[in-house]
Amino acid sequence: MITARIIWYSVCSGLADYTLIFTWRTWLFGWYLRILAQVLFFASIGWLLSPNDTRYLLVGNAVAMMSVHSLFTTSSTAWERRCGTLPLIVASPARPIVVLASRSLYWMAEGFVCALGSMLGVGWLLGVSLPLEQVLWCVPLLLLIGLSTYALGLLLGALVLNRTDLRNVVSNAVTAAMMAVCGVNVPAEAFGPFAGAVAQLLPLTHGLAAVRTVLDGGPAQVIAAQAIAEAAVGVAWFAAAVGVLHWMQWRARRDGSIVFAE
Amino acid sequence: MSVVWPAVRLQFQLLRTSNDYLLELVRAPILGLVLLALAAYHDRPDLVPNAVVAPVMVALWGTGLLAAGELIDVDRELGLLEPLIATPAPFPSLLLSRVAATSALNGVVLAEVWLVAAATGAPISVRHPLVFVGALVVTAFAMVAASLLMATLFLATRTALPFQNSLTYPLLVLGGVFVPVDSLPGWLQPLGRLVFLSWSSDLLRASLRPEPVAQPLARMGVVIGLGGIALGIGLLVLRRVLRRVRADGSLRLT
Repeated sequence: MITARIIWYSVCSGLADYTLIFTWRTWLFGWYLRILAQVLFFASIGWLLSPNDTRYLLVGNAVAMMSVHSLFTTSSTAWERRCGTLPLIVASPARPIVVLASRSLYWMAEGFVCALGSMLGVGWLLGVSLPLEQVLWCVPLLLLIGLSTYALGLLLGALVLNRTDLRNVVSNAVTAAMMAVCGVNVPAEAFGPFAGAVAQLLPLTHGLAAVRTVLDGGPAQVIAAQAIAEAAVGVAWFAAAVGVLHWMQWRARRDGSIVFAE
Repeated sequence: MSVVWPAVRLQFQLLRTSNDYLLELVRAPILGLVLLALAAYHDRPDLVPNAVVAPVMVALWGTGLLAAGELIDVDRELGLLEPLIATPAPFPSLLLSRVAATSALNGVVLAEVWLVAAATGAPISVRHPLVFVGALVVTAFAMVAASLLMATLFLATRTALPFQNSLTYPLLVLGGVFVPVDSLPGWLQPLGRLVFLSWSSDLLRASLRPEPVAQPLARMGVVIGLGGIALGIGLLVLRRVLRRVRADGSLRLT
């Protein structure tokens, strides 16, 4: 019960941050427009290739928006240190991992809206037909991709807690790498067997493959296998994030290396 | 002229302490890799010039936007903005010099993308060196001018962040940095032609292709013209904003 309350307060705290970044107007006419344009930028490359490639690029880049937003967790985790609230969280009786793992959940909600909105909106603009029923089946897969990427974002956020100036560089570099090798624009194997193997360990790869299979009306077993793989990847990254956060907390308490603000 | 060198030095010092400027240096080669892989995967060597030019233009625009926003926001945070405006040194020259210093980073981006293309074995070479260099020079001018205009808008508003976020990809689509404006839907083409990026991207791509480049000087003139318009509006608005904030002491509140 107490943990649920801590999660709720953390979510509210994160939302308070979020409302400082955007008003509904700046979000809708600024950020959302930019997201649609980003998906359009890549999907429109299909105009120079073929209609099938347009669809491939649209689905890949729209679904990737789920991961792009979830990876903002790296930055927002680091904000706790920059705002001077991290020492208070570490010193409180509550477990810091509960606070840090919950405070950025709003990125998942935004990622979901952007992913689904761009898939349908840009799809309509480009004349790509995506059956609504199959798109709805993609909803749980999108949430799964969001969760698994959120876990990776949390781990990266924990790793940059001592170098918060690197938060944007790290999250952007990982986002760009995922856009490259996770099958967003070209199949992962296009970068060679090593990149293909790395992609199997990253969030998004399996989830995106599952979404593509759903939209193509593929077999349920394949979809289930890819979804399970995506979940397993997410659990592994979450375990790593918990481990690193525990270690950081232990070290900070031991050597007093934690500071109130930078 | 005497403010140019100190302004450039100040900006280089700030660049060394801000990792955010590294973003494009990290993103551009990866984007280049993705776009080159797209061209190779679909067996479309004719798209290699697009794949090389696009990440450079994305980085150019991204750095220009970042510089325009950061100059104002960071100066505000550091308490530099008020003294800089209060000094007798011409603020527009300071701003232009610092934006130009930041845009020098794009030289590194160009080298990075070229190295990625070379490393992946992409068939790329500069077929028209004069057009290539000329296009780079006029593009740099237009970008600095556009950055000045955006910095002025950011100065007049409370924060640069929402504008920085929203002006990236819409302008990159309109600017035809990968898909040429001629391939955009008809209703978007006139808008795209108002964005200097579209003329610059076309010129740079044309300089990498073996076919003769049609009317290079006229097209460079359009880039200079669009940059000149941005510069003119930027300076005009900047003068008005400076006069207003000096008159009513609202710099801290803007």
